[in-house]
Amino acid sequence: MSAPGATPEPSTGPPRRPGFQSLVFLAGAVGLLGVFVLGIARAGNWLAPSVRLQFRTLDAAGLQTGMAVKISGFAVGQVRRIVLQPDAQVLVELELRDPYRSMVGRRSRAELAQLGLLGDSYIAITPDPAAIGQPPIGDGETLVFTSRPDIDDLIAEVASSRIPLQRALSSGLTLAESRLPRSLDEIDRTLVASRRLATRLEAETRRSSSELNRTLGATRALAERLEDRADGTAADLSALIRRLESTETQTRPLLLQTLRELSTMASATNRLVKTLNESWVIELIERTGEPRGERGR
Amino acid sequence: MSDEPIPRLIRRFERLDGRLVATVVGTGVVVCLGFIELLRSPLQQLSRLTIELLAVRALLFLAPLLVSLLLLLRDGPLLLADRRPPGSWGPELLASGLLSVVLLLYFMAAVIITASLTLNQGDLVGEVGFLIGQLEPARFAAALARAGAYGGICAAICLHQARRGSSGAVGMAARMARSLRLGIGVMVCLDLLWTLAVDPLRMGGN
Repeated sequence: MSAPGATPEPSTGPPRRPGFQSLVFLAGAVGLLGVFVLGIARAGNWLAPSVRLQFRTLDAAGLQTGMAVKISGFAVGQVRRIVLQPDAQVLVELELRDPYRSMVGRRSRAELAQLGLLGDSYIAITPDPAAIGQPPIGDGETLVFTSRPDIDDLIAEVASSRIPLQRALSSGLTLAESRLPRSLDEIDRTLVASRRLATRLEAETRRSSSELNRTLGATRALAERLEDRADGTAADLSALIRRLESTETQTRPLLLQTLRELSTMASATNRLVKTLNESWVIELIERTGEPRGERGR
Repeated sequence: MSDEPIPRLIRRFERLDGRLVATVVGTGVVVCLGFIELLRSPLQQLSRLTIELLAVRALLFLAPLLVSLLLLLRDGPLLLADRRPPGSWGPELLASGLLSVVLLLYFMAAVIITASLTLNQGDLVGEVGFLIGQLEPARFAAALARAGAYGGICAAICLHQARRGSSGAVGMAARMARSLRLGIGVMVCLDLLWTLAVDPLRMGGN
């Protein structure tokens, strides 16, 4: 092999062949090319079977070919092509790896999502649980695309709410500055007064409880006395009732006899009065008692 | 010197030796380290992954220019000593183009491994695979094509300069200087044209 960098003299030497070192480096370059192509092919899923889906949107902002397609945060494919259609809609073609095809159904939707605030954007496909067990979605079918809220709108909204929020915060701060110390003083005073009241209530309660104990003792004694008296009165009443009963038993025949005599006497009196009424003496008495004018007429 | 195309091709490929590959790989390592440091120091908010991707993708864009310049510096004097009519330049142009492509592959391998090692978080093989996967196929193919074209253009410039001027050490030095100047100028202009015309159009297609 000739010295590197030196101009070889082929006319004087044996028939030329590439040196071993050159062959090794050439083979290395071919190997590197193979590694690069294989790596790119693997990353682009050129070797795995896949299905092509598509969706339409009115705005291609944030969309890029090669961006990841994810289901439940898991990369399942990538965006292959973005084309502006004659009707000004944007047609986006996705490539979905075949094993994940069964998760996507006709109710699946595609949306543009982002990892965090500054992370990469990707296309998120919502899985369709109804698609499991059903025939898989066909090649070239169209998904519904739902656009996310625009970040500019969000920023504008945040900016518009900033001033009222700041105002509310400042007024809250002012209020807290002015009222909070006073309120704290009030609370302190109230606590001191409450403590004082509690002390007094405790003393009063102690005193009242002794009074109450005494009253309760007296009440108990009174109740006992009343109970004794009630027992005595009940015995007296029983004896009285018994005496009354015996008296009634003794006096009943006498009373009956008296009543009978009275009845006899009343009937005798009635007969006497009737006799008198019919006698001339009564007529005479009645005439004597009449006025003189009436008698003349 | 033989005029047969195959021996001429072989003669050129014999110059692909350890020193040339080491120079290219070393350049790749140094440029990648410098680029990562440049990205990492003032922009510490950037994630490790972003830095890696930026370094690899940016250097994929610069690589054709860098390897073609290295090849021009290495093989320029040899080509300048070879006075041939333009009709017989084919093997030299082809060999230069292919060598440039080969060097680009080594350069990119050095860049990717350096980026993975510098910001490695344990899984070197996985990271290298990930970075290779992040190379866009169209850009990678374009870089290979540009490297081949720039290599051929450099060889054409040297062969053209070889036919002009006087022989002798002074004339050779002047031709070499002119070839370098022209080579650098043409490649930078072509790169600029590529950046302005071809790449934006392709990106616009997205």
